[in-house]
Amino acid sequence: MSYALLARYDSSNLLYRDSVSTEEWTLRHWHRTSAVQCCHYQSLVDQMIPIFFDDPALPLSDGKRMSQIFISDKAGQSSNEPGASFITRTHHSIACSSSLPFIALLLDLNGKTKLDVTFPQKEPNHSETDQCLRIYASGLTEETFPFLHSRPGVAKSLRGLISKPKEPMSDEYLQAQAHLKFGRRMDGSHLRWEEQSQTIELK
Amino acid sequence: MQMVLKNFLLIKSRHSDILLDLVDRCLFNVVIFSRFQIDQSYRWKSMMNVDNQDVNSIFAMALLKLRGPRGSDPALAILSQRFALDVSFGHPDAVSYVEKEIASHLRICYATTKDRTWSFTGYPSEPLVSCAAAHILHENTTYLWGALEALRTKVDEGLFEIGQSGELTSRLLLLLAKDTYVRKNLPENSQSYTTPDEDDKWRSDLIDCQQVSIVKFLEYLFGESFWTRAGHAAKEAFHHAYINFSHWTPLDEPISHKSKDGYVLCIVSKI
Repeated sequence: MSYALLARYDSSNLLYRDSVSTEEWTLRHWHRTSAVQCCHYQSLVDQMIPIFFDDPALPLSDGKRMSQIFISDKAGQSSNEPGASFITRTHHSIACSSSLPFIALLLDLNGKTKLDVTFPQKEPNHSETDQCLRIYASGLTEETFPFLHSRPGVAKSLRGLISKPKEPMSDEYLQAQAHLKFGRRMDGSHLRWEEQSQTIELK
Repeated sequence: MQMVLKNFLLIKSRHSDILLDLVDRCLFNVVIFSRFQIDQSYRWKSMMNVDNQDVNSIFAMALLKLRGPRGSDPALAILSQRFALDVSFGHPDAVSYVEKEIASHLRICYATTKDRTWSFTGYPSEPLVSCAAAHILHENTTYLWGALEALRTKVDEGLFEIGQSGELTSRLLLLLAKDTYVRKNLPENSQSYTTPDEDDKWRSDLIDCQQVSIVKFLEYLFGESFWTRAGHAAKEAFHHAYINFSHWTPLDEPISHKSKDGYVLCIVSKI
């Protein structure tokens, strides 16, 4: 009997692989109108959207006009606001340095509604302070993302896709789970005996 | 366009024995065009030489192929094509789902193992097909909601992965924001998928691939007070900045890593 299994398509090996500069890489995605979902072990960021600067004052080369929106996603229960300041394009696994400004967006999808925007300019020649528009957007609600008002029901559907249900973490649950995994040997007397801190008198 | 054609030929020459499906798809691959080429008339040029073809007929063909046979529901296929849905290997319906998409909804079988027990499949980056998918997704006000609910049902069943930190939701949120932005001035239930160009129908933009001002997009995404918060300098810095993404494509390796001789390498995925 023939049966089929699935395998993740390894595009980097199978389809097309090339060595190009980061400018060229971003430009190719711009030409293809594609945004990038990074691999799960990519440091700092999860997605990249190409930016093109259509500024006549810039060099004619299209590659010299490219920049990026780097997006980091969070789905934890606690606030990840400080994480927005850690996004940098100079990290060795990103290496997309440019003289043009870029955008760092942290989406804290499960957080409380909040929007914070910074555009530091204290060090005009520092590529990582004056050139980055940092956005911290928390909470998948119509307040944080007003455009969702125009699509009723979409916000609720999207919230249902953020994360899988978490296991309940009450003390009773943890105790029951420990008993399920290890049986009554999780009781204190057994543990003390295993650590040889308790002797058993044989009659 | 030349760059894309070169890439496509490269793919064919390397894997001509296993990528037969892509031959049929070159029609959609060659339409990619950079508006920054010297002459804008290069857009659609390959189609212009085909008898009885125009933008409408090519787009209609993409719609027809994507929708599949009468009675089938293309909602998940449409989302897969644009939002890079990640099928979970272990789900009992995964194989039949993928086979159905290959047979009816433009999913590509890139390769199979010799014993044919494993298939390597996916949706390659195809802007025209992405625009067709966007057109179906927004052709009426309820389709999008229904497609998302269908996706949520399948996510709950374990057919699709959502990522470790909400990556799927993030992809949906950002691209749907752009979709709705480019459609906000169109009449409801509009059947238009290109920007109007009365002079030359081959020079018009696909609305989902057109340049969108970042200043206006962020204001639409986060509200009218966004640039007040960001400041005048920020708004000025991005005054000439544009985005144009129409779909997501997954990368299988980090954006960059150092080669042995120190040069930075970038991996271009599914292009």
